[in-house]
Amino acid sequence: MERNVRLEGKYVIVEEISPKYFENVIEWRNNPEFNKFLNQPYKLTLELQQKWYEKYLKDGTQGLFVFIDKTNDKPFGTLGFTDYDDNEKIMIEGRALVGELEYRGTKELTEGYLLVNDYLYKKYDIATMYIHVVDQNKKVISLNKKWGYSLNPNKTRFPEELLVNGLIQSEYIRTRDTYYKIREKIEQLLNFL
Amino acid sequence: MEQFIEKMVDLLDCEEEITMDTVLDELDEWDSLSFVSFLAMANAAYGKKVEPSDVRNAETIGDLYNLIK
Repeated sequence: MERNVRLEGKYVIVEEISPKYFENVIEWRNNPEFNKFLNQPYKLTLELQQKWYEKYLKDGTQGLFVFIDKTNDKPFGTLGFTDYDDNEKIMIEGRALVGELEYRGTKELTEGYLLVNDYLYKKYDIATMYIHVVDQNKKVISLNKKWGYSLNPNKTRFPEELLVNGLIQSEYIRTRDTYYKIREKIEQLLNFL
Repeated sequence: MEQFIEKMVDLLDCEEEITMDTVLDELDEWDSLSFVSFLAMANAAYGKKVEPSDVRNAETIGDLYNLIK
């Protein structure tokens, strides 16, 4: 599996996680404003991050990408996936974090999401993407709905994700067809920015 | 003004009533994609190039309206 992914858009660069981004990731993930809905019931340290990374390098079922502003090389967030299943052509999208507040609602962030999803759907030939969102996190639920996700009407695929760190989550899905339809609309938005 | 509200209802895809006094943070549908959609709408429908920082400072629907009128 590729471990040095680099994607380039008009406004943003997406790079696979590497030690040069550890400091940023640790700062963001330890920020109580950002991490209240994350699956991380502990303070992240450099040592823990390094240990995680050593396992990550050998695990082809997950990925973590960092968004970097092309104009100033500033890392500002992450997006990733876990539980890639090559037989079912599914994965869970997650690790979404906008660590630098001024990038919320920006063309850089939007393009970053498109670049990662384009890559994942194509590279891994994904048929269905899953996400799990804490039921209280109404804004993220709304956001993901706009990105094409809907409540999984079928049997829960990842039941272990429905209760995490005492938080109740629901499972949402998005097929490849839905993604590409939504993608078209969102790309049009970017053209007006 | 009414037309703006209609556009915002469409943009937000929300079912609840919105007015100029509606507080953005209290709307579940006011998320980062709505933010981007607003910037795009401001440009496309009103010919206004609005700065993201101005939108971040907006607290109500009325504040957003003031950015495009």
